[in-house]
Amino acid sequence: MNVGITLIEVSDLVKYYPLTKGVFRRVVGWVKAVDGISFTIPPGLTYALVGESGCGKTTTVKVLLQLEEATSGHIFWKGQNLFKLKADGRKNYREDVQAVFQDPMSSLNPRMRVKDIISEPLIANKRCSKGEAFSRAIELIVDVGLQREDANKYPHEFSGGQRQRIAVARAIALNPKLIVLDEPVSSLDMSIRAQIMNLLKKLQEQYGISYLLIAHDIGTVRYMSKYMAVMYLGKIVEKGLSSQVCSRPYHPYTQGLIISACPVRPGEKFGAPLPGEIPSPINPPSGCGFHTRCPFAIDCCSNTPPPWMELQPDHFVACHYYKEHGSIAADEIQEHLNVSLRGVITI
Amino acid sequence: MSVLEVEDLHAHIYTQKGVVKAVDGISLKVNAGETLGLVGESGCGKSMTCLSIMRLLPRPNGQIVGGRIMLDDHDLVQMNEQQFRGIRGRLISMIPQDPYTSMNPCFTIGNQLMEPLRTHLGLRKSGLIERAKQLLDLVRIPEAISRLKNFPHELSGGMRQRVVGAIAVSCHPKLILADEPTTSLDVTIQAQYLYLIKQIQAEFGMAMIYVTHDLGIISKVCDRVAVMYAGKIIETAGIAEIFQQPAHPYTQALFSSIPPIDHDVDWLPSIEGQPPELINLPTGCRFFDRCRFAMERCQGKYPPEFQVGKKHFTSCWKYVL
Amino acid sequence: MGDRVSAIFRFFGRHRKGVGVSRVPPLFSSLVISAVIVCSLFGDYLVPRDPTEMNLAVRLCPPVWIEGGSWDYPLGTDLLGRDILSRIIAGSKISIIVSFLAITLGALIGVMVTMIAAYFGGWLGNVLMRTADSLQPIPIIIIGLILSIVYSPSLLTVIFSMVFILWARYARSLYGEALALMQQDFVSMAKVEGCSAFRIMTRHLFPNLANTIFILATLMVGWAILVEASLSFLGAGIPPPAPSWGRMVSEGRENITQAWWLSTIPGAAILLTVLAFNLFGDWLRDRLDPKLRQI
Repeated sequence: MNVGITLIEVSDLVKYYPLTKGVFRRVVGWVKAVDGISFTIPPGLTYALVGESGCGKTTTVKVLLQLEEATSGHIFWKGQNLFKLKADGRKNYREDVQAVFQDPMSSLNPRMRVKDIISEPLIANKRCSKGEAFSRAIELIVDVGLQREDANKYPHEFSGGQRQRIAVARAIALNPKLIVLDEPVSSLDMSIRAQIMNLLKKLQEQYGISYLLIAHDIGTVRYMSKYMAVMYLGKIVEKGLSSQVCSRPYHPYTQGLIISACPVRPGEKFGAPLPGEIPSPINPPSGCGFHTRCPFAIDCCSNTPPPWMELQPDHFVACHYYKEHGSIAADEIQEHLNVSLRGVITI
Repeated sequence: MSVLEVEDLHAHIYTQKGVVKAVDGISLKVNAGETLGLVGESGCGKSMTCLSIMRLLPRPNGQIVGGRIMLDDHDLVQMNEQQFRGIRGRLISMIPQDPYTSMNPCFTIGNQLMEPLRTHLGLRKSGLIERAKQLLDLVRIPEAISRLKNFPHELSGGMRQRVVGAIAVSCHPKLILADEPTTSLDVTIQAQYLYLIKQIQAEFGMAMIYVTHDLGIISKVCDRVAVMYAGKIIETAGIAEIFQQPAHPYTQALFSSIPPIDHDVDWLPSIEGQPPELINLPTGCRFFDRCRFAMERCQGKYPPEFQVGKKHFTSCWKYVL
Repeated sequence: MGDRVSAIFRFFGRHRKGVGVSRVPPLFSSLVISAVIVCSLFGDYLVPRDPTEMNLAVRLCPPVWIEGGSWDYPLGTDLLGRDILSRIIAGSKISIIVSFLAITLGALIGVMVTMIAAYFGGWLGNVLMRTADSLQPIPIIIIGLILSIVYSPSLLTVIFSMVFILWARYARSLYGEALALMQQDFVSMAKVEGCSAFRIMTRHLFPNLANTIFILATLMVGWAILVEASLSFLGAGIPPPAPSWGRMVSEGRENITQAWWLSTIPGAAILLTVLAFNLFGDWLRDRLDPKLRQI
C-alpha cells in the first residue's frame, strides 16, 4: 500500500488456539484461526476484511483489540512494534484503538444510562473530570444524531439503530485513531443500515478516523471501504482497492463469493458456483487452503502456499493459477463459473 | 390455479401495553409451482403472516381475528385444531429461520425425518428408513444411511438447514413457508441452498412463500413479490417490475438504500425515522412521516389498492388522480 | 366456585399462566411480612406483657378459644407462666435479625467470590468454585452444633455457621449468570475502553446480578429462619432469656400432650413467616425475571 504514513501495519499475524484433551489438558491439535496475514491501514481511510465463517476475521479483531494474544507475527502501530511495548505504550494504543461490535443489544450495559455509557471511557482512563466527561458525552450524543434528552435514558428505551449510534458515540469518546467495526450493520434493518453507514462516513470525515471494517456483505464493504482483503481459512487470498476487487475479482474464491452475492437479472438462471463445505480451521488443507473446492487447482496448489502477485496497481492475489497463466486467467475463471451456473451442480 | 388464497387476514397479539395489530388486513394468492416473496423489515408482519397461516401464533396472546385463509377451498381459519393437525406438516409445512434451534438436539436426524412420515403418511419400519434415505439424497447429503444416525450438533449449519428442508418436503406439501432460512448461512452455502430449493420446488410443483429482506435472494428465488410495511401489504408485483419500476415510495427508498456490489455510489439515500409502533397505528398511510412524496390526503385515509401495471398493485395516493 | 378457588390462589400469589404477574405482591405475603417486620422493629412497644415475666400462678393457661383460656393471655402461657403472645412478638426480632444479618454477609462474600471467579477464570476460578461446590453437602446444623460445643452458643456462632454455607450457595447460583455476563459484548467493550478489573466487576457485573441477588435473598430468608429455629430447638442457638421461636417449640415438647399450644403456636409462626417469604420471593422472581424459574 503506497500511501505514505501508515497508521497500523499487520505483518504475518498468526493466532492458533490449542485443542486440549483429558484431565491434564494435553494439546492434541491446533485451531489455525489466523494463519499469517499482512495488511496496512492508512490514516483516515477504511480497510475492510471480508470472508465467511472460519476465515479468521473475528480472531483478527480480537488480537488487534488486545483481547487475545497473538501466537506470532507483528503489529506496527505508528511505527512501533506493539508486542514489544511496555504497559504504558499498550495503554496508549488501547486508547487509540476502539471498537463497535455487531450486536447492539449486548454491547450496551442495560443498567447504565446513556451518558454513563458514553462517558465511561473518559472516566476510566482519567482523561478529564466527571463533569467534563458528561458534557463531552452530550456533545457526542448530538453528533451521532440523537437528542440531548436521550442522555438520561437506558438502552432498552432505544431501537437497534439508535443503540448502534450510542455505541459509535462511545467509540469516538476517546478520539481514537482507529475504530474496529465488527459487522456494525448486520443486525440492523435494511432501511436503518444506510443511516448508520452514512453516520460512520460523516464521522470519519469529521474526525479523520480510520476504520477496520469486518463485514460479510460485499455491498456494504464496497460502499464504506477504500481497501479490502478477502480472507479464507485464516489467510488473505486477495486484497486491493475495493472498487477493483468487487468489479474485477481475480481469485476463484472471490469470484465465487461475488457471484453468489450478486442479484441476478430477471429470467437469468443462477446456481451455486462454489460447491462443497468450508473446511474446518482445525485441519486446513495443505498448500493453498482453497484447493479442495477450486475448479482450477493444479498440482502445486496442494503442497505449496501460493505466491503474491500484483496484477493491477494496488491489487494483489495469491494464486498459483495466475502465476501460470497471468491476468487473463480472470476471464477464464469467470467464464467457467458462469457456465457452471447453467449446468447441473454437484453440491 | 391458486393453492393458497388469503383474504383480508387480521391477526392481533394482546400484550400488557395494548393490542399489537401484527397482521392488519392482508390479501395474497400463491399458485402451484410459484414462489411469492414476502419482503419487509422486522416488525412489518411477515413472520406473523406465516405463523398465522400455520396457525402457530404464540398462545394465548396471539389470535387470528378476521379474514379467510383458503387452501384448496378449505378455510383454515374456521377449522378446529383436530382437523388442522392433519394439514399442518402434510399440506403446508414450514422451514424456520434458525438452523441451530429448529431441530431437537436429543433425537437423531433419522428420527426427526421419520416423524412426519410416521404421523401423516402412516409408514412403518422398513418403508420409513427407505423414504428417509431418499429424502436425504434429495437434499444432496452424502452418505445418507450413516447420517441418519447423526445428531443435529454433528452437522454444519448448511447441512442442518438442508435436513430441515427435507423434513418440510417429506410429505409432498402443496405449500411451503420459508421464513428466512438462509439468514445465518454463509453466502456461498446460501447459494447452494437456494439452488437446491428451486430444484426441489420445480420437481414437486409446490407453491412457496419465501420471507426475506435480501435483494439477492429475491432476485433468485421469487416469481412475485409482496412488500409489507407495518402490518399491511403495500405493493405486489412480478419480479421484473419490482426491480425495474418499484411503485411505492417505501419500496423505492428501500431498494435504493441498499449498497450495490457492481458499481460505486457516492452517497446512499437512507430512510429517516423508524417504522411506526404496531400498537399506535396512524389512520392514514403508515409510511406518511417518512415519505418523500407525502401529501395532505395521505394522512387522512389509508390508500386503497391501485393497479399501476400488469399484475402490479400498490397502496399509495400518489397513483390516484 | 371457580371464582372462589382463584381468589384463594391469588391471595397466596399463584397466578394463571398467560394472565400475567400481578403488579403487587400476594396479599398473604404482604400481610405476614409486614406484621413480622413491624414486630421485630417495634416489638418492645407492642408486647402486651413483658415476655420474660414469670407468673407461676397462671402457668400452662390455654389460648383464649379453648375452655379455660382468657383474653389476658390470648395465646396462652408456658411452663413458667410467661405470655406466649408477647414471646412470639419478641421472638420475631431474633428470627429477622439473625436471618437478615446472615444473608447480607453471605451474599457479600458469595457475590465477591463469584465475580472474581467469573472474571479471572482459569485456575483461580476453578479453585473458588470447587470450594463452593464442596461446601454444598455439609449439613449446616452439624456446623452450628459443633461451633456451639467448641464456643458456647451465641449470636455469632449461629450467624457464622449460616454464612459459612450461604456464601457457597450464592456463589453456585450466581456463577452461571456471571459467566454469561462475561460473554456479553459490553464487558469486552469495557476491556477495550481500558476499564480496570475492579471497575468492570463493580459497574458492569454487579448491577446486572443485582436482581438475582435480591431474589435469592428473599428465598433464603425462609431457610435462614428455619435454620435458626432448628439450632435453637437443639439448644445450639441464641441462649436464653432471649425468646426464640425455635426454643419455644423445643421447650414445649415435654408437655405436648397436655399443652399442645406451647409448641404448635410458635411452630405456626415459623411456618407462616417462611411461607410468606417464599411466596414473596416467587412473586418477585416472576415479576423481575421469569427465566430464573429453576432457582
